[in-house]
Amino acid sequence: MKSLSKIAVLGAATVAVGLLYASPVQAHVETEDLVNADANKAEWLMYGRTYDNQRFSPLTEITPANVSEMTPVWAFSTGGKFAGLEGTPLFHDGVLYVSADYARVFAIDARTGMVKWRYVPEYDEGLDAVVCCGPSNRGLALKGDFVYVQLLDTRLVALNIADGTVAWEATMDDWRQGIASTGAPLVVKDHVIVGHAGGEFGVRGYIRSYNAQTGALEWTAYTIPGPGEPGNETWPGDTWMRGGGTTWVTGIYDPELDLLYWGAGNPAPWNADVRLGDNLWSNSLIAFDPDSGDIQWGFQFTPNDPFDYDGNAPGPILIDVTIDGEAIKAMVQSNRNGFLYVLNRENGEFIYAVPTIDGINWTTGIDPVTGRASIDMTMYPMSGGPKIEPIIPNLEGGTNWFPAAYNPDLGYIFFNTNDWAMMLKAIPEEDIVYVPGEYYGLHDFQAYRLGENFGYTKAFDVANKKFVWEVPSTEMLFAGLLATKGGLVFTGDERGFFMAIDAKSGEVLWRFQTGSGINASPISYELDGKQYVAILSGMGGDPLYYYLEEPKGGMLWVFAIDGVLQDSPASNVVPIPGAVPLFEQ
Amino acid sequence: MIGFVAAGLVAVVASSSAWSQAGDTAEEELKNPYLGQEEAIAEGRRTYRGRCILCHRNMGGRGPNLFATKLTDEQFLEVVINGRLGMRGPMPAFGYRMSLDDIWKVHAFIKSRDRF
Ligand code: HEC
Repeated sequence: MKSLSKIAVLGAATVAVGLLYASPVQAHVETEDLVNADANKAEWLMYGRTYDNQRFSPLTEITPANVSEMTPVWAFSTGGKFAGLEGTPLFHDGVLYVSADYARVFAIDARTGMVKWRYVPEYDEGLDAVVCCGPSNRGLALKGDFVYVQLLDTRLVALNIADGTVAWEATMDDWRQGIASTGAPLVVKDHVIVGHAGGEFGVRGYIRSYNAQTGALEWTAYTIPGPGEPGNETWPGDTWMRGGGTTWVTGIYDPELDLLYWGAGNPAPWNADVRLGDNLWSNSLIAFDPDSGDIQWGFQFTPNDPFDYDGNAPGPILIDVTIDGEAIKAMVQSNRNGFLYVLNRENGEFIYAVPTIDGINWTTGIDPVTGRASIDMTMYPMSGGPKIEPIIPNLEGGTNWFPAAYNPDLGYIFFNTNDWAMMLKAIPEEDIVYVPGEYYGLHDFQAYRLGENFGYTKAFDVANKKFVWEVPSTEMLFAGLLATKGGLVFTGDERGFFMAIDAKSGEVLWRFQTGSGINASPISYELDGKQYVAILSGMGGDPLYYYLEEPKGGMLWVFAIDGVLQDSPASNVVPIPGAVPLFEQ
Repeated sequence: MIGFVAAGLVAVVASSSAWSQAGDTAEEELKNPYLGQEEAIAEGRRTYRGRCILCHRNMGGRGPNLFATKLTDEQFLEVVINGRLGMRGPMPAFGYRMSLDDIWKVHAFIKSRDRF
């Protein structure tokens, strides 16, 4: 009678499984702490560690010389359905805040490995049917009394940082339309800013800002302009209404320029010839006023995209760099369309682009002045037309959502790429029918691998426009990266290896088998004077389209050199009430 | 045997859904009445593209290759109505938003060929 129990949970309810032991009063994270996160060497306060999204830890205890001595200190199983881990943990005040599949949240005492509180959301029946790429969650945000998490069904929830109880929750949208959320919220001043996925369900992308204290909706900014707004003319008729441009990768912020940057994904439907035009601002990086949501400028990577090259993946990195003798406030992004872009982040001006993978063939080239890519029309799948193959890169991209990292001392950006191709065959125009919660016009698709090696971890020197090293992987790579001032780069692979690479030479200096594929992003923090490195391991996300689930997993691993795990009376096992009462005579 | 649709449930779910329609024939093995019918296959293909390709892709992906499924007609129906949390992940329950006919038509489609 499983159907009965399913009916019983219809209707969303939310449970926080209580405080397991009392916690001391915590120092709260405020706006200044977030703006100055770089100076706070020990902690990891937001998704990209700092607003510039560099994922660069200033810690130096672990170096290429001693990393071979690094060992696991403790581990924690996130349990549940083991449906894949993609998160970046946060570290503040001795506590690790970790999100797992289905946006479950754990606050874990980093000294003892013991859970302080856990939050387990419940969902309406049927949600899984509209979540394209697994019930992933990529991270959390901190501010004041709250830990923010965006649930898979788009609810934004503020949890009390002390005990994980729900302070408020705001329902962003109706998941039945195919809108889901997997990204980490971004806190800017008193705004919690969130986006959504669902580009394949015929939705119109937007980001929203909620008041960080109250959860009141402040503004909604659509990535696809409506009638009368600049860019709407790049959409024929009313195609803008279902134009896609979703916002599922967390944005970044420049406090000095007071600009919020958020990327928009692929246009919809995939049949590009039914929406002839550039289709702004799909596949673009957009600069917003964080207080109003007004668009300041945009830069589009792939115009009139027929390839599903979401331009928002991964989030860009802000760097100050001198290129050809000119000091530039830049942003750098290795894009899913196979190119790495450097833009001026003050105005969106194009600086340069280079291919990050071999064999890119969807474009005849990128204009060296404007940065505009021209699609090779012999590679363009026409509605009802013949299949086209091989198109390079695959729609999963030269790279994808997994975050890159940047070492400002070296001027290198580190990212993972994959070498693969695809076949696309566009469906006839009459087959594109909008039904809420159903796929809206997808091409027939087949992926191909291209060689013995699949993934590559690459280092690119931004000022000198040249690749420095690469580390091949026999399977695809879907993990994020961490760079450290100690001179290391950390990342993981689908085979389950977590590795440390010499940032200068690209030599792999250390590896550890975590037991399941790594699709998450590492962090580093300092606790009681010691440097730790943490990573989530657990097969999931897009790789599940290509690999069987085994070996399944769901673990947080914490490493250090001579790390310390304190003894504690607390326990991570949860007794069943009344199962073993104390015997009383 | 489709013994899982209790009368009480029908009131909870939409009355046009497969839950209510499959309820009465608990006794004999259910057979797909649409097998081999061209129009039903075309409709099933559209539903497959809209609702199933997301996970099952052309020949399997997050979910197994349905064009090679060994399930009987009735077993297929049961999985699609009820969903299943297997080793590979969640197969969502579609009984809430698909009619019995819709499910049979998808089944007729997957039985008509060996890949999408
Ligand atoms: C969200 C992803 C998802 C969607 C959408 C989905 N499925 Fe599935 N399906 C799965 C997974 C995962 C399994 C395997 C479950 C397991 O591990 O047993 C599965 C298994 C099945 C099975 C059992 C196959 C067998 O041979 O045992 C059938 C039948 C099935 N799905 C039919 C459908 C149909 C029909 C649709 C569209 C109406 C659909 N599925 C949509 C994920 C999905």
